[in-house]
Amino acid sequence: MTGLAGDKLLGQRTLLEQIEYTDELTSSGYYYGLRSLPRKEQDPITYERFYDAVHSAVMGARETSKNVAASPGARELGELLFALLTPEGHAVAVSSGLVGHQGAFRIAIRYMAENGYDRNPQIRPGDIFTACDPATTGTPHPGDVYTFVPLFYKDEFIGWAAGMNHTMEAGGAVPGAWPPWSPNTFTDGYLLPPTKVGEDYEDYTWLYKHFERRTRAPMFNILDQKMRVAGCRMVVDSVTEAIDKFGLDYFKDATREIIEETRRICSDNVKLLTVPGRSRFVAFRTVPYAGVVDGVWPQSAKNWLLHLHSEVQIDTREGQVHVNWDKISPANWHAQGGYKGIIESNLWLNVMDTIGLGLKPNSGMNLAVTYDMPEGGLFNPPNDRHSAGNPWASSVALFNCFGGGLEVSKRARGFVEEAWNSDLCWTGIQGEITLKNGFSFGFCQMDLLGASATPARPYMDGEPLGTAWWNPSSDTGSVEEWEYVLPGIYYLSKNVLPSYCGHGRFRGGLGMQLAFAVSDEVQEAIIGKIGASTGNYFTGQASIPGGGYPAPTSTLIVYRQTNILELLRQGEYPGGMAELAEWIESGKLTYTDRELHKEEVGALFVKPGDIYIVAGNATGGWGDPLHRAVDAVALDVKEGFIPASVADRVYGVPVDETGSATESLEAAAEARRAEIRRDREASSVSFEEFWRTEREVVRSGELPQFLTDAYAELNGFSPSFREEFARFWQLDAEEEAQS
Amino acid sequence: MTTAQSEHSQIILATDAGGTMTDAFAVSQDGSFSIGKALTNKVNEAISYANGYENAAANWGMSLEELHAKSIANIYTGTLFLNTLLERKGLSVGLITTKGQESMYIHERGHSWLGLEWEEVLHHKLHHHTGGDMFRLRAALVRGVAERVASGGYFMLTEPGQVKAPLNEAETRDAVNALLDEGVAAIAVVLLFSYLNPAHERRVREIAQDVMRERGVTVPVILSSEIAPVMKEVQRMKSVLMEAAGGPIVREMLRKVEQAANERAYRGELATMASYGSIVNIRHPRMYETILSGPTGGLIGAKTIGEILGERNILTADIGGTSFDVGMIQDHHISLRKEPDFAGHRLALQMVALDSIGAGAGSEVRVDPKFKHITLGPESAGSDVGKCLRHPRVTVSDCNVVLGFLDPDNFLGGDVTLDREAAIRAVREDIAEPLGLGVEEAAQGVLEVLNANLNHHLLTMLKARGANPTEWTMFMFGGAGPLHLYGIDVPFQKVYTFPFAAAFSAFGVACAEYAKRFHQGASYIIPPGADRDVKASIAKAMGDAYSALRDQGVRELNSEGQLATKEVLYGASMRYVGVLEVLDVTFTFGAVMTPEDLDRAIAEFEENYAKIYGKGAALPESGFFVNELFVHVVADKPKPRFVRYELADPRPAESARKGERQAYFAGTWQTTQVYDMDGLVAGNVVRGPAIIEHPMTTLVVPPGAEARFDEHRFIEYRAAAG
Repeated sequence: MTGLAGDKLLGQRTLLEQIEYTDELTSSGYYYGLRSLPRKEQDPITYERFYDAVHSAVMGARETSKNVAASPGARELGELLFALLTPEGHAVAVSSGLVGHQGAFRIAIRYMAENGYDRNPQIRPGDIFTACDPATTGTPHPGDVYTFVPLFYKDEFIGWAAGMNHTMEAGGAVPGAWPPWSPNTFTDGYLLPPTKVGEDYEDYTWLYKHFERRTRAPMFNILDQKMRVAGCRMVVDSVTEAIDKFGLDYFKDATREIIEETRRICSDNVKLLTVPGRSRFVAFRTVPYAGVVDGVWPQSAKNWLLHLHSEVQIDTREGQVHVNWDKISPANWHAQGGYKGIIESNLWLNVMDTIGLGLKPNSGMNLAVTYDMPEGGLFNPPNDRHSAGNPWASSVALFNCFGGGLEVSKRARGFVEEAWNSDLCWTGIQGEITLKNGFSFGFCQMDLLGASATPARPYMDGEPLGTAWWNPSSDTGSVEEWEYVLPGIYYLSKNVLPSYCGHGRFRGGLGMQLAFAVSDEVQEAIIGKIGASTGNYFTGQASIPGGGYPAPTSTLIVYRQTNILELLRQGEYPGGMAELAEWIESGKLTYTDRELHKEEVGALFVKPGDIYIVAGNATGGWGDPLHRAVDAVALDVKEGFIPASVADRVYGVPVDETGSATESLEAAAEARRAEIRRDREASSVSFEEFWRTEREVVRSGELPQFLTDAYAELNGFSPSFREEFARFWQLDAEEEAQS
Repeated sequence: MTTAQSEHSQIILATDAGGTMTDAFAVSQDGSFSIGKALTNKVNEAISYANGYENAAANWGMSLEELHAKSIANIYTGTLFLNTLLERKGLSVGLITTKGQESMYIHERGHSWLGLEWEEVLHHKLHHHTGGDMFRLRAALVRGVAERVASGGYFMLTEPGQVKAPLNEAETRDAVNALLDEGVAAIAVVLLFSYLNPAHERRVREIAQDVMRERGVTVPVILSSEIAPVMKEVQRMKSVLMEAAGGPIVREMLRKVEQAANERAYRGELATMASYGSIVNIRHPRMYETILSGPTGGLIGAKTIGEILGERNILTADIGGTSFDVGMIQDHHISLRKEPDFAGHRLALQMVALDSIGAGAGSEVRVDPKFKHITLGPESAGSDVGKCLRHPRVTVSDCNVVLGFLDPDNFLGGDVTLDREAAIRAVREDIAEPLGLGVEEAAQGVLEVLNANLNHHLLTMLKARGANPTEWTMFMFGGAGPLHLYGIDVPFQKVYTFPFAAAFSAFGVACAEYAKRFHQGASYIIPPGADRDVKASIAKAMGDAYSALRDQGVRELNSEGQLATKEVLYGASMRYVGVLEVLDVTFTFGAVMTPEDLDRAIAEFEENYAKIYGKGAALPESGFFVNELFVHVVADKPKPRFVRYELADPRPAESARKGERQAYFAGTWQTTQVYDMDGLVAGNVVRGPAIIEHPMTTLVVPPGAEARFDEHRFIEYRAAAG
């Protein structure tokens, strides 16, 4: 290995000088100041061949190296990513997988530059840098681990190979990859700022020892690190071969042009696919910490309501999208906030499926959107002590609002087939299992992370487990694989849950029900449930696009000390929630206690004989259920997707449990629907009446404490919110001050 | 058509029955072959079979009966299975599964993007489940029964396959009755972990048979533990559903074809191709294994020729009109893949590892008017060739015509005349002008994009195996293989193509071995530092399993009339404990029977693992896990033999020269010699720039390269000597 580098890593510039130089050029509005694309324009064929070469490099690395992976997230679910980066960390080409993370890689590179890593510890061929600290790295949460290997060509530093994956366990205050109860960064888990963890493509032993001591799934984490290194090496080797063929100058020029080309296509797509204007959506999320950590962290001894508001401004003349988050809640001492990486990752994912069509996916997509996240806001905390344990939960809600804005604009342009109820979700199950033989291991289970239902559209129903917008290659894994890595916990069910969707003229995809029995091989287990669609979450935007109902939220139900193990020995167990309820009713299934958790759960202890059920990942409907085709409702009943009672009550289609009717179904439905409309009218109030009533509530200040706190917090943090709040409720100055 | 006149004997028949045409291929002992074609009769393929061979026989001046009387093997492949399922014409199947898993067929574990192109995969709104549609499954046809078998799992003391909940027999009876009430024609059974313990699935079948006896009906009951006894329930279910829905229909049609052959003096039994690259009798109990057999022929042919040439490691590229398929042979073994995707379904199926890329010689070329992207395929002109014939959009073939590589007057041996002016106009208007390039430059650019795509896929496949291209030989075939051979710039040790490149896949089918392959899910954990007793116990269990699988293979071969077992290969799917993906290792020493064998197996696994992922990726300290055993039992079967010719002078005979024309190489038009491929003999060397024409293919030899016809008339393509 050559011992080059030194602080002038890039010819006459340090890495930081290079980043600043590139930023200055890009401030022109064109990536790297490229007002033209000479390599592409002079020889578009060689240009496409070059892209094909570097894209094949990252795709090949992913497909090959993931076989080394231990964590089911990486191997079975494809929750990993490889990318080729410029020296500044901008992605030129990305593999499939967790594609959004490419937007965050440059944060780690900047951190290394700002801290003089090119001088100490130096950046040399074969060096391995790994990172998982959100404040310094861009990783959205500590469970997302990044690895970087510098790319040298004949002693010249020219970029990076990057690899990331979602690991099994992050070593936080509660077991799993997303600690939901984490008052500050010190309880988030094992946080590694960008760190040289190996050289000559071999990890230092200390890293593995850290994984062993500081995480609950060391074997998985060690193998995942090996996977990232193996993949990065493949990227380096393949790209080096491409440079041999195309030349170094070509590489340097074309990688910049590829990013600028993508920015331009995004920008042109804004012009082609959207209408100009402004749209606003909001979601809310509760953060119930009161009573959880009061004694140790009094600043976290309260309940918050997060205001997740997005205003999307579309300028079709310039082809620019701007997001304004000036009315978002401020950062605070809980795990739902985050740092810049979570914004960049989410932005990219939203862009990809809306205005990022027909292009080479890379960092140019981030440049097509500008945003304002105020200093001190939820994802731009005032200091680096704030937790980023679980920002994927709150940020997905926020970005559903952003995505909803883009969807509405595309639909207004006439792209109806591109519209859907933008209310995507995920549910994570995590924890730690201690077996009777004393062995214990942490885990996060991704049955409801690998995919969620697709939402309803203006012309079709959604589908169960139909997409994962953070991973185009969605996959929830195999029960047989999951039981292998999570022994002692038996699946009683992995099925769709009837009627568990947002209803509408077109219904959302059904969510899933997972039921588990804790076997007598387990000494004790801890389980948690987190995610974007928990009962902490309410979206105001989901029902707006089509008037359909929003998705139901996720639920965790625990039945303590049941007779399930005895029933199993007799060849019996309930196959899902409906049968479980019947068996409880009949006394066939007994239990001592039942707990229902709609909100996030940090750590619940379960014992042999306990049953726990997680329902999640349903999506919202589109349009009024009373407009749904009668035949479609009858078929839903026949196929068991909704019970007859829901067909009657929600859809106004009176059928029996086989989906049949005794009289003409159309006529019966018409009469029933007329009745429902009359009931709706009878129970509704005029907007004016609603406004006056609620205004009195606001003026009286007689709100639950967490709401009072939320308004106070927002009014204090966001002048624009305060001004709009007062204007909407027509409060005078005194009332405004009180509110 | 005929490649050589000779006394034809010991003939092998290989049929490829497509949805439109049936290709009937006959190869004689001396390597000469004849091809007949017929329109596929979808109602009774026996008719199109006979029509095809009538043509093939006529080429050799024989009657259909004479051809059959002289035939020693008869292999029939086609798309019947595929089309039966795609057209939703399979049998009505009922599914019995473990209670709580009934909606597997709906959610497909999230696989809603299979079969999409990369750009489509990135666009979530295009994701869509294929679900149970192909099998016409609906809720009433799926029943869950309570039962549970333990996985064992990492870190556990529980015995893998231990029964945790006995099969609920009352529920099972109810399920069978309910399915029969729905009128199902087959019952598929897929229970969790049945690959570790098949007892419950077998008991379901017994109960089903009892119920059917009582009801006086009979429908087949197909068990996943017998059809695809490997891990991952959704993939296993797909395989079993395919077997249940399509297997009986295909088997019946094959029986009709066999009868037609027997009635025409063929004395043997009909065989078909399994997707793992071997032929099996049409009585083979796992007919779904033949569903993806179409593209396997090329690899089998390459393996056969590789053995003649002494080449152990071969990469193959089959370039046709719509796609190119890249495959590999390593250490004389065809590389297999475990979970191929098929029509939006992921199957549990051993299949030759082919990467298929949707761009070929007939692919449409599109240039994005705004962003100037060039896209090739996936749409193809097929027999309409391009704008030079009657296709409405410009294609790769148009580019080949423009550059002088394809002779417009000699396409398909002159049967079709192409319009060169139309090709030039098309390339100019649709490609060159939007890109701001000259016509030739644009046409050459399109071919470069196609070639680059091919080269990247070849390299990716090699890297995935940790292989160095300089130790590998490349075989290129398919109708357009020789035409694009010059585009290979991976530094292979040697590069070959063949005069019969266009019929290479059919030739390969004729070369196939008669074999049975079994994969059996297992669960053996070998802890780090395991002592001899532990290893002895595992080795004995593995040895017993291997013996049982081998015996089953021999038994099946015997029952199908293949008495002489030529070779038995043993291997295992292994991983480090903790890792999820397995690596298939075919052992060099045979079956694991002793602790010493187990050590050798581990050593061979580690050697292969390090080769692919690097030594740093190893984790022996976590122990080893064996999750599948496999056995490949091969029977002897006649194969085509190649004549070894005397080597003639390197200079081709003047009679082989057809003339000269202008062709565009490296940016200039050059006078290029044109040869008749059939006129070139063993020993001839053709130096570029040259074009060697054959009625079914064209070999382009650019300046600086040469094509040498070796003693078998295989064509070695290489840098020109001197």
